[in-house]
Amino acid sequence: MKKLEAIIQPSRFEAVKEALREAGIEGMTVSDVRGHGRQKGHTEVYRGREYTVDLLPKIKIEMVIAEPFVEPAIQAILRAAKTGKIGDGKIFISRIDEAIRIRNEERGENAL
Amino acid sequence: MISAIPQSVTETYAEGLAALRRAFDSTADGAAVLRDRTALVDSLLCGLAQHVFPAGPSARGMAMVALGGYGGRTLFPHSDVDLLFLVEEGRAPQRHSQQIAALCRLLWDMRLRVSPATRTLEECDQLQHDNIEFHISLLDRRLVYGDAGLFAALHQRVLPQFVRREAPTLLKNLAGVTQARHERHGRTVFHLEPNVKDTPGGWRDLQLTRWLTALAAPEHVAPRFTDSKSAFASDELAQAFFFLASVRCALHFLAGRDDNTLSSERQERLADAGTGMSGPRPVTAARWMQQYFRNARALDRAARRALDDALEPRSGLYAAFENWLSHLSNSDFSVMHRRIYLPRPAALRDRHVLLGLFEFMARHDLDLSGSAELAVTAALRQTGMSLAWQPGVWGEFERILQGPGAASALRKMQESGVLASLLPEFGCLDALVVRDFFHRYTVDEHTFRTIEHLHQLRGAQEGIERRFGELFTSLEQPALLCFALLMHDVGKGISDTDHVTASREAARSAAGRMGLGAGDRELVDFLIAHHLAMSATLQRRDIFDAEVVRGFAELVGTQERLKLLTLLTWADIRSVNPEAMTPWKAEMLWHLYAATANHLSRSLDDERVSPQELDASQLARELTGQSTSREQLHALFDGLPRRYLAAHSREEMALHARLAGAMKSEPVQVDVRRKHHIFELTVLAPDRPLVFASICGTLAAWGMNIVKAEAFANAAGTVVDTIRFSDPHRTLEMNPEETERLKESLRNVLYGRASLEQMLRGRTPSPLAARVRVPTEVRFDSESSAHCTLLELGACDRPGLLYTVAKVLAEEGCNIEVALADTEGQRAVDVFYLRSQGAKLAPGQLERLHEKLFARIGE
Repeated sequence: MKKLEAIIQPSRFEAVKEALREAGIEGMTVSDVRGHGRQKGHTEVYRGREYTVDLLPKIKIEMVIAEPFVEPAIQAILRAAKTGKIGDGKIFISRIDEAIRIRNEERGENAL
Repeated sequence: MISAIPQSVTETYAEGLAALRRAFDSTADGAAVLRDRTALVDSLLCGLAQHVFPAGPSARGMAMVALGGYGGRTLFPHSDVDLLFLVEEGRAPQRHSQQIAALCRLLWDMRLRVSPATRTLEECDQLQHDNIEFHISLLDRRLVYGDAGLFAALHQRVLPQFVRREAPTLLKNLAGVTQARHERHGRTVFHLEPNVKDTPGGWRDLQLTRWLTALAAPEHVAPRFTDSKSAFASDELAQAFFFLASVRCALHFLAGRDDNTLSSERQERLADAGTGMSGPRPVTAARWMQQYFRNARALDRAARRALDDALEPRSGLYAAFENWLSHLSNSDFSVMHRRIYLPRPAALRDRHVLLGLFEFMARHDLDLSGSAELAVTAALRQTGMSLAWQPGVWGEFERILQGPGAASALRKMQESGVLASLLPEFGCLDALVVRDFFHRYTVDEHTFRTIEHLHQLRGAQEGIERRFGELFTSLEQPALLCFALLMHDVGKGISDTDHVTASREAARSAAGRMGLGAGDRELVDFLIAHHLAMSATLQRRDIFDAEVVRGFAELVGTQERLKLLTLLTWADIRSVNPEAMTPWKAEMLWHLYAATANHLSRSLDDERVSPQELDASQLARELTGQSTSREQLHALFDGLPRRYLAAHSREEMALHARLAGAMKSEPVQVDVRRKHHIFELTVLAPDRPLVFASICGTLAAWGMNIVKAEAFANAAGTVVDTIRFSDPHRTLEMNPEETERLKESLRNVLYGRASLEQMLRGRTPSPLAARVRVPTEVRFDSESSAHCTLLELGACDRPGLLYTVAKVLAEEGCNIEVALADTEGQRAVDVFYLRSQGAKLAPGQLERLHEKLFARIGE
């Protein structure tokens, strides 16, 4: 089992969700987050006053999925989230030791 | 004494419970279940007591007394049984306690949850500060078994004297407990999955009304809820009781225990069964929950009113007299303890007084007294008044909408029927439920909350809410925004598929009937039509993409519309549920607003009206023939920034066209009109140096304060300046004839017939003492515009500021192509599009300007 964390542009979320559903992945946890990569944000001026936009709004999607679905999920996210511009986001993969369904205490991939 | 339950007793009880369930499944009559279960438990207790207390039912020295819900004959299928074992002092206490313990064990063995208390008469007369609930439960007492004489002493002597003595303490505690409970449940009846016992508007609030009555009149035993309809102060409360009784019984039977949560799943089941409702079945869950919220609202209202009445301090004569003469009171309305009373209720038959009451309420953020509420309902009923078709009603309604207490006033107007009389279109939203996981409130409550949250922005001191608050306080017509909010979801009560179109139609109908001007109606229509646009852009588009911002700017067209739509979006999201407006979302919204505002300010000279575009437009068709020729239209509109078309209504453009036509005989055209609390000056004149500075200087010389200005020049070299100003010294307001003198003064300055310097001498504008420190900021931008250098200036607003700036610009040889001036609270925000000798400003000029502006304006 692997955990995928994808940080994406908010405007691409609906497309990513649909792409994941088409790839057969339904369960996910979604959070509103803020952050920046190497571009570090920028300064805006509104009515003569500067304000810094250093942490840009993003969406974080987290999923724990079985091994066979990992690469399809990555490809789905890449296809739907990419715009080619700075700020498109990143995907992180990590190993998951165990998963348990609280309702009936099922374990392992059956719990996903 | 027995240690096992006689089989006959348990069988009878079990059969009785099963019969109750069958009867409820057939009739859904909750009140009957309450009565019958009470009787069943009475019978059970008597049956067991006969075995436990060998001295028999009339045994002296011990009385078994039902308390709380059981005492009030409102025992739900799985509620606790509250029992008092009343004993006489010194009457073999050891033996009694063994018998009582044995009885309780038998009941527990039967899985009946009993809450026993043992007390003597003397103990019942002593206040236990850490067990106020016990004293409250004694308010509903009833003899079940035992010494009638002992019970009579408690019922007729001890408790009435106890209550008379301790009522203030009991009341204070009851109020505290109620407040804490309401606080735990968010002080609202609106929950997606309410607890029908504890949530505001639930069973506890119904009990509260009865307890308060008992505390106020301890000698009088009020009829119980299940005994008679006279137990209720109104039909509305009686209906709420029968509905809630049925609902709570259903929940107990479904769960098989004392579980009072009306989960989504249970809502579906109860709706299917039509629990508590008469009429055809099944009903949808949304429709059923609408009924729930109507009843909960009525109960919540009754409980709050009863608590307020009970807590009203019985002040001394002088204090009461002083309060009546509160500075807010007038001949029609008196104010005491922040509630409005009516010295002459009959005056409400006059619609101006009736609406004036709610305006008063909104303006001072007060509440209505119970007697005032009743008087309003009576006045409507007696006169049969229909406010919807009364002429000129918009002015009064506008004043209600713009008061800080507007939301509270609107709620009271809805409760009393005044809102339905004034705005029948709103009636379809009464307790309308939208069943999803986001919308916590009914649609009408959501609407009132949008207006409430908007007005609360005024007081925002920090964080992002302060920024939105500054936008709100800078609005010219906040009442129009409130009206748009009031109508924006009306369509949800009309159409399942397209609520926006339905809302627009309803708003157009209401606005036309109430007498809003054409420009105002257009603005309201725009806001409703696009009330989801900003939210959709935030969610689905990249708001850091310049093209997205450009497209959004094209949609809104003007700064004013942008501000209104931003605030509407903020209020709408904020009112979906308490967690909907996250800091993340608020920042996104602010960023989209700021980016769009910047685009609107910085792109003015890129897009100008062309002759071809003008000829093809609806505008030309509308204006031509209204004593305006096509040539005159071209003379005015050709080359104006397209922003001009979005910023002005048809009437304003028609006026400008007429003024432009008159320029042949009189080159300088001046018009001054009053608009609400400010004045609007329009000047059309040939473009030449110092025109803008002269206009601003003349107004400063007259003591006027410019709050907003737009100055454009067209292709023919005519300036069209629109300046909104306030009259802090009330010169024009108190002396209407001075308006003509002001116009003449302006013409004289522009023609060079009068010296502006002389007019300003002796009337040197001094900086107003700012409540907050506003630093001066000057920024030049030579990138955003293709043709001009932009100057963005922020400074502490004061009379004469714009004149000072315009004069400095003129001294440095800058031609003002476009000027935009605005105020946000204490801060003046000005944008100028500048050219010098036909080109953008050189770096040296920028430095000099920067220095001079700081020198003249100050830090």
